[in-house]
Amino acid sequence: MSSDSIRHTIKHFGVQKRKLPSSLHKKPSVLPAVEAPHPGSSYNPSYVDHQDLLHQIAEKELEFIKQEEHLDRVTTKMFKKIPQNKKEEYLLREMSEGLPTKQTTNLKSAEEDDNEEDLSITMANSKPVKNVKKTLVQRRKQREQKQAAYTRKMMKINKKIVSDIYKLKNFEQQIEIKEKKLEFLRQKRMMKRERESLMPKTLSKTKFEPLDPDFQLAEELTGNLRNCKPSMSLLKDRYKSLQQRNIIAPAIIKLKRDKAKVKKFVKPDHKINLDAVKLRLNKV
Amino acid sequence: MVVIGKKKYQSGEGAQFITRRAALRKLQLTLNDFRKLCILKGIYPREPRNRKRAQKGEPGIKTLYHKKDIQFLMHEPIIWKLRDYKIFNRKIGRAKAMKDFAKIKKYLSNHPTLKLDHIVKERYPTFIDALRDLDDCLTLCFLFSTFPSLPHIPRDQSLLCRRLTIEFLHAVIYTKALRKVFISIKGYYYQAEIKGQTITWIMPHHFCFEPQAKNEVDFKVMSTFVEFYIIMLGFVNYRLYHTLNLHYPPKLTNTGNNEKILVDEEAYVSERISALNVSLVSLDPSIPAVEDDEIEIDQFSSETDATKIEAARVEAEKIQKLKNLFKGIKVFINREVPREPLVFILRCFGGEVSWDKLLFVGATFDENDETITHQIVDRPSINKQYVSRYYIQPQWIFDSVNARELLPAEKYLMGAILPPHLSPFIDNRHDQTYIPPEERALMDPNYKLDNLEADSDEEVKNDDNENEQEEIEKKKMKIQADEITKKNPRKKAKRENDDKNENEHEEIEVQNDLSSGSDEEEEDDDNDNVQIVEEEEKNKKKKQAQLEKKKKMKVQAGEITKENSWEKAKREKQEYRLREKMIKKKHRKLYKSMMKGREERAKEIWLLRKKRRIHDAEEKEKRKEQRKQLNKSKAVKV
Repeated sequence: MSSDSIRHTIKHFGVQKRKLPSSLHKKPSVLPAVEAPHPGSSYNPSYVDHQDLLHQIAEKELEFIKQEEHLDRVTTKMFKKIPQNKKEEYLLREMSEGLPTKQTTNLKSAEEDDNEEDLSITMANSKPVKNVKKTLVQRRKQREQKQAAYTRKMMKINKKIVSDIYKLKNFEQQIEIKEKKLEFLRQKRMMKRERESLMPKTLSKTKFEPLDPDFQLAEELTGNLRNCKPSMSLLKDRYKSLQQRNIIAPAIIKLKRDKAKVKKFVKPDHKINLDAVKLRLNKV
Repeated sequence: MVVIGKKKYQSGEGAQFITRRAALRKLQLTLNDFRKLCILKGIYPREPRNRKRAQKGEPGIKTLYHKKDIQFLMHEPIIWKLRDYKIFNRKIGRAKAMKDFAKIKKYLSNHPTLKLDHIVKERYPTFIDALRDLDDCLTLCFLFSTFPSLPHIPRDQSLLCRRLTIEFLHAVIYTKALRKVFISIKGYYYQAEIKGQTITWIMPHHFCFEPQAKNEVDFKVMSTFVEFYIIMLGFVNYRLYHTLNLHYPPKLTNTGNNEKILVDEEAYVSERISALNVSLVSLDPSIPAVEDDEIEIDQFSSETDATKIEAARVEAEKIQKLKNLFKGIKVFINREVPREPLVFILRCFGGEVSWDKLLFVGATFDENDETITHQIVDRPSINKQYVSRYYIQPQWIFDSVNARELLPAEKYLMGAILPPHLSPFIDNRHDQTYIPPEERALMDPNYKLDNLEADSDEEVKNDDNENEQEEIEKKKMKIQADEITKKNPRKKAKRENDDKNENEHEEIEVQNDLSSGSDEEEEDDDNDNVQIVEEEEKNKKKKQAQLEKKKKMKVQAGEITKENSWEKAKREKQEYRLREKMIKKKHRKLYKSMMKGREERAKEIWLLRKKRRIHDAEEKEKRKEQRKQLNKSKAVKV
């Protein structure tokens, strides 16, 4: 086959090759699929490693408790507790706040009358605005003033440009300072990006929650393979790992689909009233 | 009038992203199908730089995809298969409702099937790509191979997982590619090196299946992952077997089962293969199997640093040794020990394994075989014991692999309290740390504990001449210290290499250059001397007259310049100081802090060593006194 016919056949009969998105061969996260285990998670760990692991976990837990306490203090404890018997009383008082009571109504009505009178006065004071137009001379003068101001401004700028030549050193310094600042900011941004590359990204509205760390207490560790106890499930670990590596979006797993509840009823015609039926039977 | 111009979100980030909802509408798929398609094709949701713009001003957080990715998905032929599925389900539903069983049967007999081969090829254009992504695949497949059939997980999936993983293990055994093993509470960690790629996977412990809480893991999603990984692992296995010159659906070498007519040949073969204890049939028997080839490291490598080349050579040697670690060892596995991981590891390094016949098929020898060297036992005692073998706990095998040599069996004997099982994955410990002698002995089997145990035995023998004894001990200590220092330079060099600071690298290089340069000079001098002496001998006899003439331009015999060692050291120190001064201003602080840290750490280590020494000495004193008292009391009694 000639090259032309090959091209033709490929174009019209073969499967065309699509360009793949470059992201297909990139991993969405820098984290490894299987992370190296902590030496303390050995089935028979050395004392130091095990203590190190426990210490890490305890520290995390303490932080968590502290956070919880803070939230409690900032939200729940800020509100006063209301005893049950006073609840209605408070509610009534709160709801009736600002409503006209008998004493206040008389005073208020008098004030309102005054206000009405004032309004009528202001209405009378307003005058129609006269449409004043500028004369040609005025316009010309304004234009000339504007022009003069502009030329003055330009003069000033030109003068400054000339005089700037003697300030080169100063400018250099300024530029240096600016560059230094920019460099610092760039460095900071890079650091931030590096830090964030290890964190899971926000892919959906549910937040990623890391798995509770896996550990066994000293009492649970038996030191031989035969009596080794099962710990956390590996499947959960894998699932969370996929989420952490931005491969699947974290989601709340719904087991049952929400369906609108259909109200069921029997048509009145089809209802069978057993008592009535019995009565009728008895009559017969 | 319509304003002609740019509209919002028609370019930039607003045009790049598409919400999941819009993607569903565009692809005309249900959410479940879309999820499946994305997982199979390897398309993941994205996080935009500016969420507000990417969501076209909509509030909240939405799952976003790249528009290009979705366009890429649009061309995928399996979308049609997914739509076919939808129609197929509708047809079946209708037929069931009508109770038209003939139709149901007809539909079920030719149901649509997804073919994923082309996707594997697309996602992993080269074999190395696939190997690089094998961690996840293997871990999930090993996990699913332990599952029974569950809702959302078809039964054949777990069976296929089991088969493929076993085949992979066979390939690893054949290539002896295993490098590290670790028993964690999560499962067995393995690390293999295939084609230069390190592959790590977790094999769960063999416990009975525990049902998962349903709201914690999305089984459907995980099952989809496994669906893809099965196909991928199949391809990888095929390729691996063929590069190793093995028959791909693995075959047994000996089919000498003439005694009974087999009911199911396939089941027989698959059982033997899952025993992991047979060698496989090669594809082309004329080609010899891969021997333990001693590949010489290329001398002309691009690496210029001599220490690095040396380190690489040592590493290669160690690996070569590791590959034949269990060669010549015959192991019997007791029934309480997990069979599969142990058989896998032992066979990986050339050991012979067997187990109780009733435990699993494929046992090659019985327990009463006298040639067995080790029996692996995980119980405190056993009734019938053979003298000719070690009764050893399973951790010995794991620790030996990690240490890359056969560890002494004493600590692992039956009933002994095991030494801790250390992780091989954390080998780059902090450089300068104090390691107590006991731990050091654990990590480094060459290092002998100059401990009180050995010495005390000697002491008991000759109590009288204690002073002499102590002197001997001191000498021993010195010798050992020397040995340690001899070993240390290499370690030190390594440590220095590890330090990422460029300055230090430069320094080391400069030092090397300096030392090599001086050596060369010395050699040149020596050569000159020899030559001059020879010439003189010849000339004396023949050309005395000429000598007289040449008296004016006399050549004096060269003298060997003796280098003062202390002068040299002094000069080097000066040069070092100069080099320190050459460090750029921006690195100077860093350098200083590093050196300070190093000093502090060294001091700390020194302090801890001193403490230990004092402690040991005190202990010794105490014991001595005790012994004296004992002797006295004995004497009194006598």
